[in-house]
Amino acid sequence: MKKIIAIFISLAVFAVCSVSAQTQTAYFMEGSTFRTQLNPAFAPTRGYVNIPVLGGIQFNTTGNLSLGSIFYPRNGSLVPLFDKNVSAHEALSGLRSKNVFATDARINLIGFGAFRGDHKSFWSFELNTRVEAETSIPYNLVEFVKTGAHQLNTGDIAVSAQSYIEAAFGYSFQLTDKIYFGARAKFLVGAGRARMSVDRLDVRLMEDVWSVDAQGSLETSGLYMTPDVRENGTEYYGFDNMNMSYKGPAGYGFAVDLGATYDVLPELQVSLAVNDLGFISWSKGTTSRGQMTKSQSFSGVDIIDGEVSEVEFDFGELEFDKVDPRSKTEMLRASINAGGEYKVWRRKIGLGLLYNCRIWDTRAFHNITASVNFTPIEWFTFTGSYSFLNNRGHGVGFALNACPSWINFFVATDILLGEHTPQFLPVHASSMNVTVGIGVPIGKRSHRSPVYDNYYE
Amino acid sequence: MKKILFALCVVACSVGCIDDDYDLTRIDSSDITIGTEESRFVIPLATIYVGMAELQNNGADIQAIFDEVEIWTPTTLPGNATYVDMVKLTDGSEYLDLLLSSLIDEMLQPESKKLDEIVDLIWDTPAYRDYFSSELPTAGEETFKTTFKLSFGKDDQVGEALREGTRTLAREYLFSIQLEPVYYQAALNLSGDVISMLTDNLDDESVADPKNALYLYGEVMCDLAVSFQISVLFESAGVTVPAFDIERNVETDIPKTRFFAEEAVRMIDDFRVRVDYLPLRYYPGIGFQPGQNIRMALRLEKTGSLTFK
Repeated sequence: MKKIIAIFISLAVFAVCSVSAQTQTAYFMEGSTFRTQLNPAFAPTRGYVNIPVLGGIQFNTTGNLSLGSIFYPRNGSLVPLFDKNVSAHEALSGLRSKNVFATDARINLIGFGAFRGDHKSFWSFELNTRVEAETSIPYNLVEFVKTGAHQLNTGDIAVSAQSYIEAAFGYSFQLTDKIYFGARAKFLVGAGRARMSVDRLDVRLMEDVWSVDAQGSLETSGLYMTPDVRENGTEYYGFDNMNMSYKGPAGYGFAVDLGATYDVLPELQVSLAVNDLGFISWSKGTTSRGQMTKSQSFSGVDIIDGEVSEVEFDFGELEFDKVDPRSKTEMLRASINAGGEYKVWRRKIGLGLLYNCRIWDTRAFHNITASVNFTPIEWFTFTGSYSFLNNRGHGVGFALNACPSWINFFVATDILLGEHTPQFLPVHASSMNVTVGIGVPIGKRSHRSPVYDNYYE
Repeated sequence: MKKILFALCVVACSVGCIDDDYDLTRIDSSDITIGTEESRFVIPLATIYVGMAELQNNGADIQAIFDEVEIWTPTTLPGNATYVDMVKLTDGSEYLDLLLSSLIDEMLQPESKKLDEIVDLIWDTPAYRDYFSSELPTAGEETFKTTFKLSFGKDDQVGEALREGTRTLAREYLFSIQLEPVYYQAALNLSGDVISMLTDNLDDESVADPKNALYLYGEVMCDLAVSFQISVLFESAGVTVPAFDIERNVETDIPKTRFFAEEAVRMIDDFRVRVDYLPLRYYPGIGFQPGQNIRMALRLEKTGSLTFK
């Protein structure tokens, strides 16, 4: 159990340090190259070539747990919620029955795109590296620790991380006068993956018996774990002396992004996109698997007529028996974006409303973002937004996109306002986004938007 | 100019919302606890089943010892008591004299079964038999027993010698009843994690009102026809549980005894116990049955939180 708590804290630190998701604030940011990530039917105002690595860096966290509900300032230090100086009431008040963290990062290695001759159809290619990590921790585990309850029956504790390379080809085209459709096909190469889960954890600290019963599993792909060997010759994976080495690409997959826009009125556009609809399959040959079944109890030694019963009790060790590997196919974290934007004041101001839903496993996280998008001049757009996050928190976001003739720069974040750490991580928001990108514009301006056709010429 | 001012406003706002209390470079995760200062955890430590064969003196087990006590004591105890007070037997009071007088009186009754029992015991015990060798022929069992019984009540020199000899043997036996201490050693095999959980944050002796403390306590149950005073010494820790009395068929609490950190670690790592059993009362007429024993359940009570370092 100690290991579980330690791993949870480590992942929590990792998650809050890794930061942020899809930046909904930028969804209505006219002219942004990044905008096409959110809906493949969108297109920037000009073609572009991204500067490698700097072309698009996104960090995102999603979940229902904020940094402020994990760490508490005490006596000049920042202590985790399991610290004795954090009361049970404080620690538990910030939690839900199931607490999840998810963090992902996307770094654009290569990216370019251009309009076809009609200046309306747009194609793009991207090579991205993506890293995703998530952890879930049930309320009653924290309650058990904080209140000193004598019995715990829980499960569904998991930490996982995966990384893959994504080669994406996107195409957006005009279907009718009012409808644009876009699709992006993504070929995925899995770099590595690790997942540890505790499916059942029963702990009893009773007067007549202390016991722990646990079942769980450990899987890695692309990483070689050196097993430890017990005295009886069986092999297991433990955490005390774990050695890992990278074995190379471990899986392949495919995903699509699909999107469409519809101009209901000249000033009103609605849009819909489904992103990351796909899977990645991790191969058997590069996978290591371990299964944990731990059942120990201690009711004291029995000394009967001077003869002593042999018992052992160890609370802290997590040992996963090595078992045969198998291939594994996992769905990506899909997301849905549904938006509407109404343009006013000669289309210089847009009022947008976006619904975003992220899905992984059986859970869904819902955000609603309202934004005001200001385009005072043709190469500059500024957006401010207000988001309701998963019916739990809220956040204010900003984004700007500057695309003069020689550079294409965009930045979007929702962490400027609100309390945040010296490391610029939000204290009380459970989700956050940071996106930045620099590219070089190429080609002529698009003929898609009347902004550029009518108002700035 | 407007753009610069706007940018300055954003930066100022951002910097103004920095909360230095949440500086992630100052994370301290070294002290994780389960429970609060008000928590109480109990872990079972050991259950000791003390069989009759373990309670002995000079090679005789408790059944043999008290079977003989039963013979050397009158069927009806002074004051119609239900038990033989083993403490008064040795404290120099007149209790032992009263007991022996009643015994001799019972032996003088016509067709006394007590006389038969004692004569059998004397014949079966060579040391006792030899004690009467100057008064009685010891060549044959039948002759010895018949002569003893015929002579015991006579008002002559032999009868007086037999009565006095019987009184002396009974006195010596009843005065010398004791049990040897019993030693136990066991490997508890609790991992270092568990030991640390229990002992890492214990308050020391200087704390007036300790919140984090470790106590040993438990219960004792005795089936035997004897009640005892028990004292327990944890030899490796050097901690003694104050002596306490146990009554037969009554569950008795073991007095709570506090262990400080080093004592607790030594006690768990090297579980060696010396238990002294001092008989207090013997209940005649009940006897001993196979399987009877003394059960001693030992637990550790940890007040305050459990600590993970």
